[in-house]
Amino acid sequence: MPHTLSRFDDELNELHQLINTMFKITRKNIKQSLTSIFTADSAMAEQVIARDEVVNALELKIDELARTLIIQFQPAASDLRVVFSATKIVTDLERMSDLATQLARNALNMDGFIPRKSTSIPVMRELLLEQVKNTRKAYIKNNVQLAKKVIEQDMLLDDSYENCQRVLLTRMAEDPSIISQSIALTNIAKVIERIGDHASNIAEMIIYSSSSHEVRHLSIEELNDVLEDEED
Amino acid sequence: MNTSKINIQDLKLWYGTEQALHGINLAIADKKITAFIGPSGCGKSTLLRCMNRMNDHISSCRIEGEVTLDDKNIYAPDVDVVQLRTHVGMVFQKPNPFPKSIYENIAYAPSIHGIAKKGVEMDELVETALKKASLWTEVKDKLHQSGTALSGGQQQRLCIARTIAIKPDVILMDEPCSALDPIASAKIEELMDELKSEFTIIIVTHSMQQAARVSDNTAFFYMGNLIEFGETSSLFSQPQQQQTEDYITGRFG
Repeated sequence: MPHTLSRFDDELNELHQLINTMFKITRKNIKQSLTSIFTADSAMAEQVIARDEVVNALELKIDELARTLIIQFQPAASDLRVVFSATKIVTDLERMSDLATQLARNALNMDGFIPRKSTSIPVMRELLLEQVKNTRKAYIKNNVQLAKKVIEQDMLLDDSYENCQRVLLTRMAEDPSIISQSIALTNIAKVIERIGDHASNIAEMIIYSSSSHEVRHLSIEELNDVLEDEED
Repeated sequence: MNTSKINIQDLKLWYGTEQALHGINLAIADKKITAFIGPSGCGKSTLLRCMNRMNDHISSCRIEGEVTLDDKNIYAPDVDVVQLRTHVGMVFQKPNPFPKSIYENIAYAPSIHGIAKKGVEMDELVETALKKASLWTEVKDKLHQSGTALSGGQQQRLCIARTIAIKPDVILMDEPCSALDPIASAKIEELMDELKSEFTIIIVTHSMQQAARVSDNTAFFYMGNLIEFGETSSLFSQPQQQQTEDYITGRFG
């Protein structure tokens, strides 16, 4: 049912649109930053770095809109959850874009070195891109189950990161000549893992906004219990 | 778990042939603030007025069910309504001080009910009531000036002082801030917060922000039915009923 005050709906729609745009650009930044690493494409890396400014500006704009919504409409219940979670989501999106910028800077400093399939990094890339795609989809569709999947995917990403670290440490011990490259790869893996953490934070906020369940800091078993109770 | 001061059981009320309340069941917690919210005509003020039998004055009004105050049915035939109203005081939408001095506004009811004797005892009672109503410092030097000469917010606090002077258990407030500016409203809200350690307070309000700020529990009414009742913080963040959600998010009508 629409709000009696149609302007309230208009402003909430604008909030959704802006967050969706921020999702779109952030996802593009993550995707292209990873591509720039795997293809040594410095022009693409530069574009990612430049686009981070757009994400920063969107964060400020969305925060301002959220403040206006609170002042003018004093949202309650589901509206309050939407506005509150919006401010948390944009903070995570902004951090994700910052991390993508960090990856792009790594790409510029790799001196033509390209990570091969011998590490878990290509696997981590695929996991992350899938996770970020699902995060945006869960937000647009307000889909709790998809948001839960994002959290589960983050656990896979974490496992993959641990595996990657183990492999790289072993290699460094075996062949000191590749230490500097391996450290660079460890940094890339760490950044990918952190972007996944932010996607997971966003997924928790999507669940809160849509179902009112506070699921931050829950184990996956506890999360399942909460959402199963919801289905009952 | 707080004990309940007032218990309402299957309360039905008709004005002539029109039913205004449809079997309300509600337990009002002792020394807490309970807010009644809902759109105009939902029955919230009607229910409030049942608690000190103000509806008795309406000849077409018929009531079924029970309202108990400390486990005693206030609609029992042996209940003295005047006595009941010394236990359940009321503050109205528009401040309505008597056209008498500030002192007399407070002292009138206690002298009629024999709560205090004229002289020092009454002086102390007037001072205590005005202090509890956070009005003493503003009026202590003009106690014999007319109550109607005060500002709207001061008049409303005078009415609250007048109500608490007869030492009630329960204070009913029917939109007490709707005629006041935001500062005067804030003073009333601050006062309510102080008074709840001594009194059970029930407030009818159209301001959901006010209900969310001042009350411990909130009841949402619609078309004479109690739709939802619960802790205010939960009701305003996670309402369980769709009608409550629609109302508090402004999706009604």
